[in-house]
Amino acid sequence: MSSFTASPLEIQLNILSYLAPEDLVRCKLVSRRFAVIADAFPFDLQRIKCHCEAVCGSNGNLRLVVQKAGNMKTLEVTPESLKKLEVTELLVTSENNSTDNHDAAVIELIRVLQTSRQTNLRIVTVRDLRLETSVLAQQLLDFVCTGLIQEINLNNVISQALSAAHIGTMDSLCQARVAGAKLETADALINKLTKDMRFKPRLNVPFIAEGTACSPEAVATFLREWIHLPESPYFQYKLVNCDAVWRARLAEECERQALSHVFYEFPSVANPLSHIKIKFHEDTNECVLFPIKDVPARSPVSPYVCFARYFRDF
Amino acid sequence: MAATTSTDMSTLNTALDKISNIKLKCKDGKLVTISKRIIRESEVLSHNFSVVDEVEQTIPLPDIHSTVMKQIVAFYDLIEDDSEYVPPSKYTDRPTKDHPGVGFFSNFTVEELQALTHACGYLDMPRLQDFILCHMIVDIIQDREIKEIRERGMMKTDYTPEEEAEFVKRHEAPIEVVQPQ
Repeated sequence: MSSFTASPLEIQLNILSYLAPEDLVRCKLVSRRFAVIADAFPFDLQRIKCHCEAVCGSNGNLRLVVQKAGNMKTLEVTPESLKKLEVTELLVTSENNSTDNHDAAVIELIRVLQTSRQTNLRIVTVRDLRLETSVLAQQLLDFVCTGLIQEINLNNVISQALSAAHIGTMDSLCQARVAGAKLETADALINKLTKDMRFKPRLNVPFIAEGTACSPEAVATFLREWIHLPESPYFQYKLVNCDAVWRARLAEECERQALSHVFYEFPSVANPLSHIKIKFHEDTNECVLFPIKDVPARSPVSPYVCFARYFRDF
Repeated sequence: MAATTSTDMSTLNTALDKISNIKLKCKDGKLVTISKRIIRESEVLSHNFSVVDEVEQTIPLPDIHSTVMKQIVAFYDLIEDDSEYVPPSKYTDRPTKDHPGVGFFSNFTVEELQALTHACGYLDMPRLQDFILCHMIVDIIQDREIKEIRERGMMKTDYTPEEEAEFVKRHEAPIEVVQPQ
């Protein structure tokens, strides 16, 4: 059977170059080959990439301000003209003086994102939204959480709707700030980091994450995984709400899993010159996990003087 | 192929003046007589005439069938009065419905259009190629559903059902939006 998918590349490219952006998206669904070509030759065929700020007001008012790639000018656009643009960075905020909830504006935002086929979002930030209908937060997350998302920053209202399934969908995620997320979601996030460190070290790591305290078991599993990796990958993980009870549970779990440490410095088994440090801020109940790769961890059996640490710290 | 320079153009005109009747020997061995305009429109043929001093009146064309070549000749007979070709600058630049070429190609099957497209690519004829691509083939794709595009363009999907469902879910299926209470 003769078909256009069997035509030479330059002819297929020529065919696609005559299509309007909305037809091009549909054409990508026709065949995998068309999708590959359309993605591989972005200069001719793709919509212009842009950063979009969606400002939600009361009574369903939605203002869209875009900044095109390679251009510092900002421009207010109508929902209709967003069809000609490809939003890669989405910032959802609220108007300063609005007092009502933003449910209607979020409904409009979801509709605009759907109708303009914004399926290539990479960075999503949502802050200062007030939603009365929790399903809306869920629907917004259902739309934005794709395998292409690399960074997600959510405020309390939205991050409560973030589920472990959303985290599982975001294959490319390497930065997440999800203050106020549920325990199950926080566990899914640290488990994802653990998995990515082992299987996708060059793609998703270094990893930066901030969120509510996950279970001490998940943190201990993460520590055990890291100390056995010869690459000792970089990351930064910040947890809030780590009270004295949580710290005690973490210490117990480390003991149970035979993770030796001195002052919460966990030496790497595979790399003697690196270790993980857990730093607690007792006044704010915050805890930060990060790797140190230049000096060995303090040893419980031979309290030697580490000159590298001495010169680094003093 | 590089655009024909003014020196090449004068050589081409001189060469064409010497010849009255130019024939192409096609893949099936049949001879097709072509006009001088077709030679000027084809980058390959015009380059051939402009660089070779003694051009034979019968030019071998082993990759194109005579049926396809006759269709090309018929198309150029139809648009005899058209002005010099200007390539379209954007996707909205398309020939109007009353253009004689639109009616000419409207009954062509996808195989015939594809064979014509390949012949245009071989002979490097941008006017005809753009005409077929931008009007006839894009017409198959534009504003149509995916299933319809596949049927009309005779394209088989190479997505697995799961991948397709996921893709459709992302691009096509509307999400039910709950109205606030």
